Amino acid sequence: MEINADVRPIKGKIIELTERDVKIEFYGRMGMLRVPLRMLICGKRPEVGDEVELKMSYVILKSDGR
Amino acid sequence: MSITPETANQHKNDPAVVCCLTQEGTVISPADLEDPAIFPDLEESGLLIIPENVLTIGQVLGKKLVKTVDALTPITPDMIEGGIEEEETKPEVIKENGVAKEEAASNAIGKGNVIRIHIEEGKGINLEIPAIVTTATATEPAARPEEELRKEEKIEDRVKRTLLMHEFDVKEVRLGDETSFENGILTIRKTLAEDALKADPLAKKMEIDIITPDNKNVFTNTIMDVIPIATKVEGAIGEGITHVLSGAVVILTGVDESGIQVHEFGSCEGIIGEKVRFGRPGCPDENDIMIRIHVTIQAGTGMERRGPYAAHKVCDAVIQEIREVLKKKAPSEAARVIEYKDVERVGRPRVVIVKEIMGQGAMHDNVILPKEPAGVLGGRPNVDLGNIPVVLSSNEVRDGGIHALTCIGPASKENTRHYFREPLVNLVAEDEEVNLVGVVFVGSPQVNEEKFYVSERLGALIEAMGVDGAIVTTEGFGNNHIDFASHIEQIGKRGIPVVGVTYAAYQGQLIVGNKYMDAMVELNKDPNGMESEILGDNTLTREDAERALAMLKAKMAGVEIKPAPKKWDQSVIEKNQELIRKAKK
Repeated sequence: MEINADVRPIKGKIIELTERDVKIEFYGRMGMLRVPLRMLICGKRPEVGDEVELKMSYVILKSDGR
Repeated sequence: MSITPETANQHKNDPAVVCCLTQEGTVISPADLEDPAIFPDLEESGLLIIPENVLTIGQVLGKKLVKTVDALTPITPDMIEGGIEEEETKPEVIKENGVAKEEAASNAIGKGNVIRIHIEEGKGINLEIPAIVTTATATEPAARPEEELRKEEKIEDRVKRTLLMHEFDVKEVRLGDETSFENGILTIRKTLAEDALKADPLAKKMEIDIITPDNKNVFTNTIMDVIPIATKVEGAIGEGITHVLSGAVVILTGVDESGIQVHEFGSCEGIIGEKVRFGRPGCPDENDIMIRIHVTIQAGTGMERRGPYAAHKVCDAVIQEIREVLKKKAPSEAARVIEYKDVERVGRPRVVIVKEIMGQGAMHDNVILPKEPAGVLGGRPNVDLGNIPVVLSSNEVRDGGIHALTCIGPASKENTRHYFREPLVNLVAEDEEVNLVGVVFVGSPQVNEEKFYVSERLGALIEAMGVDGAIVTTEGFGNNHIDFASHIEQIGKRGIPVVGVTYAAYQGQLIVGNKYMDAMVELNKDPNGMESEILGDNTLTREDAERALAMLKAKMAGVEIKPAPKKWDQSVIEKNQELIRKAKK
C-alpha cells in the first residue's frame, strides 16, 4: 500500500517552558511534543502561550523495535 | 530562466545548459543559460540529464550554436561551431556539508603552472605555497625551490609563554580511607562521596566507583562529562607547571531524585562499552581507568541551570582532593613532560580559531577559565558573560581553560576533556606555516536577536585581531547553526578567508547559509549521518582538524573550493581525507 504521508505545516502552542526545553501542544488536541531549546528557533524569548509552527507527516510504524 | 553575467562568471566551471529553446546561429550569452544552482532539483525530477561531455559555461560563452536546441539541453562540443579545444582545469577543493573538500585539488597539481598562480593570488603569504602543494597531493618538483628558499629566510619565532605538563601514570585506582597517590596507585577517600555534597545543597547523593578497562560491560546513567584530573603547581592556567594524571579520567553521571537523567535530551545511558566512542579527544581512551562519580540532584532541577551546575560543582570537589595530592608529587616521578608553547610565528599568516560553545542555558553552558585545569571554581559561565566572545591563548585551552557543562546530544557534544585535548587547537598551534593568534570562545544564545548581537561583536573582534584566516567550529546542531552561519558571514564579509567546521550530515543539516560558507568541514562519522547516541562519536578529531587546516590554507592561497553536493555524501569527506593521507606520505 502506498501511503502519501506528506510533510505539512502544523501549528501549536507552548504549554511548558524550562531553562532546558519547551513542551508544545498541537492544535486540535492532536498530541504534544517536547524539544530541547536548541531545537526551537525564535526571534524573541519564548513564553508559555506562544504559537509555534513546524512541518511533519503522519507517524508511520517502521518495525517492532526488537 | 536566464542568468546574469555575474552569475555566469560565478559558475563558469559548471555545466552549460540552455534555459529556453535556442535557435541555430545564436551566439551564446548568459541570458541563454540556466542557473546551475537549480540543476540538482532538475536532475532529481528527471527533467535534466547532464552527459559527461557537457561543456562548462566558461567554455560556451561567446560561441555560436550550430543547431537549434530545446530548453534545458546541456551543451556538448558537437553543438558549438568549431568544437572546443581542451582547456586547463583549475585546482579545486570541495566543501563537505555544504562542507568543502579538497578533492579536485589533485587535478590542478599535475600542472606545473598552478604553483605560480597561487603565489600571485596569495600575496604576502608565499610561505603557504609549499603547504598547499603538500596538502593537495604528492611530491611536486616545482615546490622544492620554494622550500629551500624558506629555509634560507628562516625567521625567529617568539615564544610568548610556556606550559610544562608533567604526566603521572596511574596503574590502579582504589577506594580507601585516605586520598593518596603512591607508586601509580591512586586511592580515593570513600567518605569523600559524602563530604563533597557540601559544595552544593542541590546535590543530594553521590556514589563513586571504578570502572576498569577490562570491564566495560557495566550499566551507566547518562554521561554528563569526561574530566581529566589536573592541577596547577606553578603559575596560572596556560603557563607554568601543571600536573596531570594519565591513564585515569573522571566520568560524571547524573540523575535527579525522581530518576530522570540529568541530560534527559540526548542522554546516553546504557552499557558503557557500547555508549562511548573510546579514543575520541573528549572520551576516555580504550585503556583508561574510569572513575565514575554519580550524582543525584534535587528532583526537577535538571531542567534548570542550577541543577547540572551543582552536579559539576560537587564532582569538582572530589577532584580537588585528588589535585591536592597530585600537586605534591615530585616532578622527577612524572612519566612524561610535555611542553606547550604559545608561539608568535613571525611573518606567517595570522590565524584565529573560533569555537562556538552552547549558551542556551541549563547544561548548554561552559565555565571559562577556572582556577584549576578543567575545574569549576573561579571560572565564569559563558551564559553569565552574555555569551560575548572571550579570547584564550592556545595554552590556556590546552591547560583546561574550559570546563564544559556539555550540551546535547551525546555524539556531537564536546566534553571538558575534548577542550583539554582539542585536536584543532593542537594542530594549528604546532603548524609552523601559520601563526595561531588565539582561540575565541563565543556562546550561542537562545534568541536570534541575541545571536546576531554576539555574532556582530565577534566580527568586530576578528577585524581588530587583523587575521589572515579563521576557522569557525561548533558542537552539535540546532539553532546554534544560525549563529554559526552568522559568524562565518561576519568574518567572510571582512575579506578574511574562513572555514566552517560542524556536524551536519543528515540529521543536523544546515538550516541557513550565506555566500561565505563555501569552505566547510563535516564532522560526521555515523554511516547514516545521524546523532548516533554514542558519546563523542561525531566530534572533531585530528583527521577533521587536518582537513580544516588544509582547507583554510587552500582558501588563503586562493585555491577554488568546489561546492558540496546538495545532499550529505560521506564519500566527499573520505576523498578529502585521502588527499591529506597522500600529502603526508
